[in-house]
Amino acid sequence: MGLEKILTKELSFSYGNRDILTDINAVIKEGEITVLLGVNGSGKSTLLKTISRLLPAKKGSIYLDGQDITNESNRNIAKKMAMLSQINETLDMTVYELVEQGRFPHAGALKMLRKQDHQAIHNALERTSLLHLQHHYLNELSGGERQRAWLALALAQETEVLLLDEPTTFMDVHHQINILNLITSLNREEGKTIVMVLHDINQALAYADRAIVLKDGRIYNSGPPLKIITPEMLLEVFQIKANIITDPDSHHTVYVPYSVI
Amino acid sequence: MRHLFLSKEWRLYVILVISILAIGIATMLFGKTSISLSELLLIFKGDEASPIVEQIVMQLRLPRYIIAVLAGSMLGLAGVILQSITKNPLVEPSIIGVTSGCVLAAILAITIAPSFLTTSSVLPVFACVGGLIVTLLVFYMSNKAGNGGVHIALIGVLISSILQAATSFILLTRQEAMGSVLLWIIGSLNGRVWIHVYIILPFAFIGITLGLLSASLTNGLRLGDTQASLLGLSVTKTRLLLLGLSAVLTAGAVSVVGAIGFIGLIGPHLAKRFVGEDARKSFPLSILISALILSGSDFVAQNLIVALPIPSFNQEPQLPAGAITALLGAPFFLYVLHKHVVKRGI
Repeated sequence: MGLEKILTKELSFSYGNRDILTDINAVIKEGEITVLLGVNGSGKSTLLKTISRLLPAKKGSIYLDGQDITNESNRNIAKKMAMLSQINETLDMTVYELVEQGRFPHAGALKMLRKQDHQAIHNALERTSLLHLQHHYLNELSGGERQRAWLALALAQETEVLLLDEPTTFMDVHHQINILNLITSLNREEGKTIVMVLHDINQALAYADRAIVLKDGRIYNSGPPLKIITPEMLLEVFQIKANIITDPDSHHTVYVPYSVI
Repeated sequence: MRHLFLSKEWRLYVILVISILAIGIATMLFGKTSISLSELLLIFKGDEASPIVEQIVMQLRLPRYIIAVLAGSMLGLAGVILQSITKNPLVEPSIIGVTSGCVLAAILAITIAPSFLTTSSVLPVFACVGGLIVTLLVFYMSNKAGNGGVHIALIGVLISSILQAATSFILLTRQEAMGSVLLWIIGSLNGRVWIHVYIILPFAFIGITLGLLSASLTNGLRLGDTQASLLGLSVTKTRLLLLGLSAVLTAGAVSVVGAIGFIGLIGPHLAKRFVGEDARKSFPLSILISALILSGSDFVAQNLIVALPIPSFNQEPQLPAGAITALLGAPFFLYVLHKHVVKRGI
């Protein structure tokens, strides 16, 4: 714990002339859950996509385990880092067929599945409680089950790092907590390093070991959520007035917004 | 005991292979001249049979049947590849312009140098080169348009229209070539002999082998471009590779049998209805179904004319297989589409 798993140095990204990320020096520590926070358009999703190299960095470098991966091939990266982007389309395939694709970066020349591949797929399905649904088509599943299926795809990659772009969007609160608990157990039990974009600040307070707050494409602050999620930060970054309180029963710390400025 | 029961797709493979072989035996036996099973067995045992019978089977019917099976397989595979990468079930091989390129090149050859008609082995080579050139043009233009080849169907259709207009123009000015060219446009297996087998064979061997090997890549593309590239699949290259493969398959088939339609549409469609979208299952199944449809259609075409003498066809059995695939294929496809729409509500 505590080792630097991912580092970005002076990382910048822009669409044409519009700068989305400017000189980002982010640190993701090994074995931790890091949550990226910020308003819409602050660049949090773009940062995740640039780290996963779905988007090309305009300037700067990305290091994974101390190695510069800025120009590494996607396939090599996909063995070390799995990224789950926001899912908008429903695919015409079964859960098993989807999860199987997670073995793509590991498969041999002819992409035949070997014993260890089948084992990895089985483990991913078991971990996400989808074994009984593996032969169902994705469009037969509920929203929560479908999200678990995509998570299983990322798990089948057997990577040390999981990047998740808003894994709880479009889910009711029950399924949100369900998937966050699953993500937490992946972190605690398997030591996976997790970086995710969340919109819900209370969920960041409850689940994150570390938060990185972005504002206008720059890092505003980073650190343990209880330290950096403060009324001042919420005012400056989210432009809301809020109190931070601790629930006497659960001892969970939550923020309560009461006004927009 | 479980290994004794074949999985669903393997049962289908076995049934289809048996059906294709049955069509093969029927093709050898029936036609303008009927041959008895015992005579056929004599020929294949290498024993003495009547030379005319041997000539009919070995020099006419057998190569024709082999070409029907190969060309059907190739069109079926080309169709299923294109449908998978464009995610459009209405796409067929001609969409990338290869068919109209083949036809135009063949017609140019026939009209400019009518002697090609007699040396029929040169014609397919011309057609094939023409088809591939047009495909390259379509690739080039759709790549320039960006979007990793999303516009390929649109550009293919537009280029095809231009080429078809050119073909019509040539036909109108050189009407003496109309008869032979028409058979080409409809697609026919008449007069196809061993030399044509040798022309189609390398295309079939290379195209089908590579096509089956690329099934997993195709499955990767099904995730969508974002997720596929995250998994390390280079999306644009893979799509181009698959498009190139389907062009080679189509050019090889069309250059020998002409522009036989509907097979590359129906074969893949039926295959996917049986086994779903998984390319590792739908590719081989589409190959077998399409091979069965074309060899079956050619058998029907040859024997229908014997059973139902149509006055204008009284000289030779000249009903082209392409007419059968269109005649049977189009209504059948409407039926399948209707069921599909009702069942899935799409």
